[in-house]
Amino acid sequence: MTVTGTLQPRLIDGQQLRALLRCYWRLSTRGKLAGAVRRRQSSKPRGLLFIAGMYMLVGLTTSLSVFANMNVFTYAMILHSMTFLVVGMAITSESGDILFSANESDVLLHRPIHSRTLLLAKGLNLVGLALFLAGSLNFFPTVFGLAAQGAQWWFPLTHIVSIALLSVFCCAAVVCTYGLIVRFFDRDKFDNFAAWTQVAMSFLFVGGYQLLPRLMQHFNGLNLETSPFLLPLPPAWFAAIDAIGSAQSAQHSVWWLVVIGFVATGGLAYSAVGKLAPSYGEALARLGETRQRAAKLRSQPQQTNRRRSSFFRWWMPDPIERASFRLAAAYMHRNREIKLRLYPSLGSFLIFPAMGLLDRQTGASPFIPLLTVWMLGQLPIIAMETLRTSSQAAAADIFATAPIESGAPVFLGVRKATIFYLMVPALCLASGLLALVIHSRSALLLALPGLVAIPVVSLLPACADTYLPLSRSPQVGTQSAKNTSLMLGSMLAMGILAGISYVASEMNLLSILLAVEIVIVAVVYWALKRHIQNRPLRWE
Amino acid sequence: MISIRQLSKRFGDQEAVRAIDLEIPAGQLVGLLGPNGAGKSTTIKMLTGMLLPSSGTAEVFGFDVVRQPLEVKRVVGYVPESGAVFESLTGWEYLELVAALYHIPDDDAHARILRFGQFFELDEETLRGKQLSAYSKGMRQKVVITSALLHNPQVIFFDEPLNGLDANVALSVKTLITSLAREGKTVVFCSHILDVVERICQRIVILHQGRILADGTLAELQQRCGEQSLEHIFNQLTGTRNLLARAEEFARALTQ
Repeated sequence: MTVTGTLQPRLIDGQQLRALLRCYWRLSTRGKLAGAVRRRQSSKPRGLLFIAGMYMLVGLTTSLSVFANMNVFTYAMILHSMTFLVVGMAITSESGDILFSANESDVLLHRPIHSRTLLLAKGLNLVGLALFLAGSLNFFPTVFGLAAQGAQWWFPLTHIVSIALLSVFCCAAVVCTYGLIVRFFDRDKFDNFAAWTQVAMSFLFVGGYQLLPRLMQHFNGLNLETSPFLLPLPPAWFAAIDAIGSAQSAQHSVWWLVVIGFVATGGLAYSAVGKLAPSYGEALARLGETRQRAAKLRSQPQQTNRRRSSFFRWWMPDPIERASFRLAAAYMHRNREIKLRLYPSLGSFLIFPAMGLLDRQTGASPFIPLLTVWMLGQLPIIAMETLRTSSQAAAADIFATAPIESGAPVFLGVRKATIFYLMVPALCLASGLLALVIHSRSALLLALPGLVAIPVVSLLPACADTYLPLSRSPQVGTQSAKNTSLMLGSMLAMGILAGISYVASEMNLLSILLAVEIVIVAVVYWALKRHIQNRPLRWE
Repeated sequence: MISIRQLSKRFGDQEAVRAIDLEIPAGQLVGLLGPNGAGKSTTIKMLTGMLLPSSGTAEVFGFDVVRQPLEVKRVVGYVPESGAVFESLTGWEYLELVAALYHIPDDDAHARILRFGQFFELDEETLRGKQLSAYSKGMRQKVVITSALLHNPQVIFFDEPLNGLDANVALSVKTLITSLAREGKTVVFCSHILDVVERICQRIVILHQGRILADGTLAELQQRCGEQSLEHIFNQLTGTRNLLARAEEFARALTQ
């Protein structure tokens, strides 16, 4: 046998690129068996299909705003802001797995692939995911846009182009951010810095989305298109393409936005693949190296350790629960893959009290405490769902081989770790912010119904099936699907709770509502916990 | 074929490989041994272009691993200890991907995959129909070995290649490895199964704490250490004294 075919060194190799894209597409759309006990995960991309359906529904609801006598620019601005949030958040939470897959180094790093080809393949994989999400979200709004004031019949075509550009922009921005991190930070610092950068990115995406209604309120009655405040806002750049391309008359000033949009997208895409690819290749090699400093645990005084372990022993008398608690804590603190998926969610949950600070002058909404507490109550669920997935899923076979009757103690240990290490500190931070923003006692009291519901909400991950940490292999789209559906679901529940609490508060019946809620929560908590504890640990 | 001079690798404060020198000519089958953490995998990863050395130089088939990593990767085949593959692909799809990465034309690639399949008794139906996650460990290892040899590399690194293989397939693989060396390929064979190394390798290199402790033929090592089996030679050079007595004592304590 002899090697045939071209072996000339090329920076972007078409044949390799096609092969890698085909491979990534297959990997994204298939499930696989995880671990020696062969638990089959879905072979269909159910996460992606579910999220597509959900986004189409959200898009349909949003598209109805076109009938409020909106011009093309304003309508497109709403659509692009929403797409910016959804695509940005999804790409942020999926990019860690796609760009820095721990399993890939032994499969691909010894093959003759230039880092530029590899990065382009992964970047296009991200763009594919972004286009899929953006396409689902804008499916109905693209058609409904024809009803916008001054829209031409070719609005759908222009909107498809602008949405595609926005998707490329989001992906290029995320890849560039990682490129810069790997260029300037070594292996030991990379994990933490990348995780916290993701938090910052999600903070920016959610914060940017929250700015829109405030901006529209500010420009109420004025012409939004001429505002200089739009210049730094990416959704405005791409909304301007819609306005220029398909509105009967558009302001000359929007041309600036279009130019900025094209230059920023082109510049970021070029920098990502053209300039930062070599450092990406080096980073992949470095990530394969053994970590030195990270494994060292911070030494604490013996007395603190003793106090802490007696507290944990009192809080978790079951040794399986304590062991699961330690397992979850170790992964939340040390595992890059978990950190890159988990920490971005934190940004989106802390944004609400932060936005309250912005509204201080105009008077913060009385719902902010309720909203904040309720959103933070979702943190354990998000964390537990994140901890369910790991590329080291085969190691979860330890739960199958150990003589454990039920998965309940394992679940309860993980649950307590997420409460102790995430929810309690986040709640303390949020309470500090709320104390700064809200001075009304009655508004603060509105947070109590949300607080009371948290114990029940945190049991939900183990209700439908046995919960075992790190037991599922990651699949593209599932993380953002879970986060988004949880966020939307919790927002719906929160809306109902907020409505009831507000009415009860107005009628001076909040204390009665609380008393009733406490009884209901206690009963549901008891029933759910019993259900989880009685379910035997079985393997399919 | 492989030329290493003062090659070192540091991870922070820890020196995994310490200024090693090694020359391996074409057609030689070298056993690279060492206790866990001796620096074997790190050395192999540097020689396959996966890790950058901290200092020193290494050339594989005349290509510098730092300046010409892609050229090195084109002539090297590597069977990693982890046996990692893309588990959601079928065996056929995975091998097609590997063939494309080395620019092997489709027809040629398919013919080679079928030949390897025949050798390893992996029928086309299994290769095309089942995802790798559904393969047994041994079947997956056969695919990993195929993926390392598909492009006909000049230098091949086997890191525990017999993992998960049954006795018959293991025998075939051992014969394949020795035949490849006879055909002029340079083969580096890493394993903890010392009697296999003893039987098939022409030369043995023992690494310990990042340094080369011993380098020579089995006869030379036997003469140097005054021991007959490689196991005893290895234990004398790298192990703790009185291993057998300690193991017996520990087993007694465990069962009491």
